[in-house]
Amino acid sequence: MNLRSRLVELINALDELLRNVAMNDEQREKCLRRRALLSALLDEVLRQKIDKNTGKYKAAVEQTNQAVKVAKRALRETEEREAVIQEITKAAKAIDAVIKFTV
Amino acid sequence: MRKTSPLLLAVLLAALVGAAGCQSIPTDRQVSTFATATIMVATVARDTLSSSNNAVVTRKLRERAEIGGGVDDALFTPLVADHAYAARIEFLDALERYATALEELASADRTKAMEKALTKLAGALDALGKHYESITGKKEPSVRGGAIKQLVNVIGGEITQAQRREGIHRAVAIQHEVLTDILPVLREEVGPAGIFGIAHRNQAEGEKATLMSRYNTDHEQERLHKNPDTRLKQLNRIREAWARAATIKKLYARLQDAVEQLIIAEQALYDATTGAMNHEHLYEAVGRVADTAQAVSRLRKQLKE
Repeated sequence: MNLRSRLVELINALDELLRNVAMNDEQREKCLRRRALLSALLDEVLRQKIDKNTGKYKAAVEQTNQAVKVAKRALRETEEREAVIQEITKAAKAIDAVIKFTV
Repeated sequence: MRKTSPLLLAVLLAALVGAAGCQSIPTDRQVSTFATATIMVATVARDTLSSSNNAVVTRKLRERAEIGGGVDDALFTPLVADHAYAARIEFLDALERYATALEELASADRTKAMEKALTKLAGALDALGKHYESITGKKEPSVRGGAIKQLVNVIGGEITQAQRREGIHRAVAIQHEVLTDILPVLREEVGPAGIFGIAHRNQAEGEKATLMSRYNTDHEQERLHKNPDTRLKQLNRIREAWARAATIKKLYARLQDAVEQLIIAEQALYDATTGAMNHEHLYEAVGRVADTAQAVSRLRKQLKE
């Protein structure tokens, strides 16, 4: 799995949450902020030619993968919803280390 | 009533069979169908790439409106604005011009129309090669320049139908050298997994998710509009966003398929001009590219509505 497809999957999972889970204003805003951040990172991932053979790249893929798992769990389990925001932030930092976008 | 002589009928029939047998391959109709399909695919590809590039700005504006913040130059920057992107758009423009000229040449019946179409064709063939290197990363085939000159040399004095056919054959041979390398690159770029497809879908899905979450949050906070007609308007906006996202998803898959069919038809057309073709295959390939081009063109129009 490459970073591009993992990142797309993470945004899709976040969209599924936004579409199907009732949130208060604060939760919704947090999710929308993370979505905007992930989209900005995706734009950069699409633009750049990234070296896939670095440790940073592999770590970013792994971290994004982890965030996807939590986001999918959060659809069913209410207690995971706060964890999604944290996992996305970690994934965004790991991706940023690859593309040097400075989150 | 006057009766037609059986001898005259036999002569007419023999003449018709003879004419059909001598019909050159590819036929003008096949060239024309191929050219029309190429125009459609080039137009849809160019419009789709361009709207995807701008969809990134649309998405960023939506995000800024939802979560606040000031504005800066980066907000209005499309996905790509480099030389490579401009080369693709200009190549698709040239492909459209080339196919238009080829169509005109295939249907030209007077010397003046043939002359005009041949001149246009030579110009468009030249433009097609201009972006060859930046798209494929390879040097433009050196024989092309001479071949285009030869095509222009066909023009001079009265143009016969045989010269017109020769013009079509030469144009197909020249285009083949360029398209055989560029179209496969384009096929990957216009597909759902290409950068434009991903960016466009991200915008459409984001719009859908933002509108739905707003409605749900308003519902959760019991602040949805009291008037059912106003709520219906909001729901219809969500429905539009749903339909748009579904169309965009389909569009990239169909566009990729249309470029794939164009590659097959272009090869069949080239083979027909060199005598290496299978008549049945050419017939099928041209028919298929026409069908897929029409389908993708309809989808693109849906998106504009």
